[in-house]
Amino acid sequence: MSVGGLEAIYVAHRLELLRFLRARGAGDAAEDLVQELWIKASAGASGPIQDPLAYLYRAANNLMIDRARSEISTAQRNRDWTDATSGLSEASDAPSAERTLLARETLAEAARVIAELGERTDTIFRRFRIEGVGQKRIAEELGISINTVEKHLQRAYRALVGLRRRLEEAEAPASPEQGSHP
Amino acid sequence: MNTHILEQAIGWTVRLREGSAEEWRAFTDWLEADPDHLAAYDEVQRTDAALGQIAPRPRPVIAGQPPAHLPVRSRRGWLVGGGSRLPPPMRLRRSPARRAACSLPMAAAST
Repeated sequence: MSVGGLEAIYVAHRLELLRFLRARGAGDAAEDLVQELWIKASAGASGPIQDPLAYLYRAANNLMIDRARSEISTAQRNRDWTDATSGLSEASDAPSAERTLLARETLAEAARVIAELGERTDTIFRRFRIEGVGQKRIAEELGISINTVEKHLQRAYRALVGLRRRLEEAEAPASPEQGSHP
Repeated sequence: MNTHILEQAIGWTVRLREGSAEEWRAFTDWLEADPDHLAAYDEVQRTDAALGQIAPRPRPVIAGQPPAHLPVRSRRGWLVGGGSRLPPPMRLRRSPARRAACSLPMAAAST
């Protein structure tokens, strides 16, 4: 599909995408964000796109993810978890050596948490999230159902969310665990 | 946070990777049904996005081509755990293709 074709899809579904952005928490910025969505989506569409509307939805969703991430780093919330990756981003300010070390420890801990769920969950999560393989293909590779693949991914994500919550609690001023590492 | 809602939020995160427009509409309905849904989804996304900075997001699906996959080397990436002692940034540097994928503008529109 050409950019012109994509534009026709965008124009026809602009209101629907606006509704999605609002449901996604864009608030008053929704109108601006839908414009920004189009600029980014049209700039990136170099080849034929299989499902143009789904592609625009994904672009809108990623816009909200990037927005949330930058708001978080500004507010210095979720410090441990954000540090785990900000030190790896070329765009970020150079982190102190101490912070970089903390970030690496947190990443290692995330890896441990997934590994503890067992080899199969570890493999499936890695295939899906790190290597970008789809659920359907993972199911075919392993000879299991898509539902089973999703069950493993559920466990992995729940464990990571749990880790993130524990790190946030450790950051809370009232916590006696602050600063300690096992 | 309600555990059931968190599970739903993770389910959307997983399924929308290759979601159709119809699934995105159903997701919009789900978000509008209860403010807690957005909060749960945001929490999963913050967790997921942190991983996204060390592993590039999947590329857009181009018609007629299989989805782009990372080099085989990435199978021994950071999530293997206990394997390589190299910190993640060093492994990223060894793979210019991955770095390029991370910095492409459309990395922002591909999951």
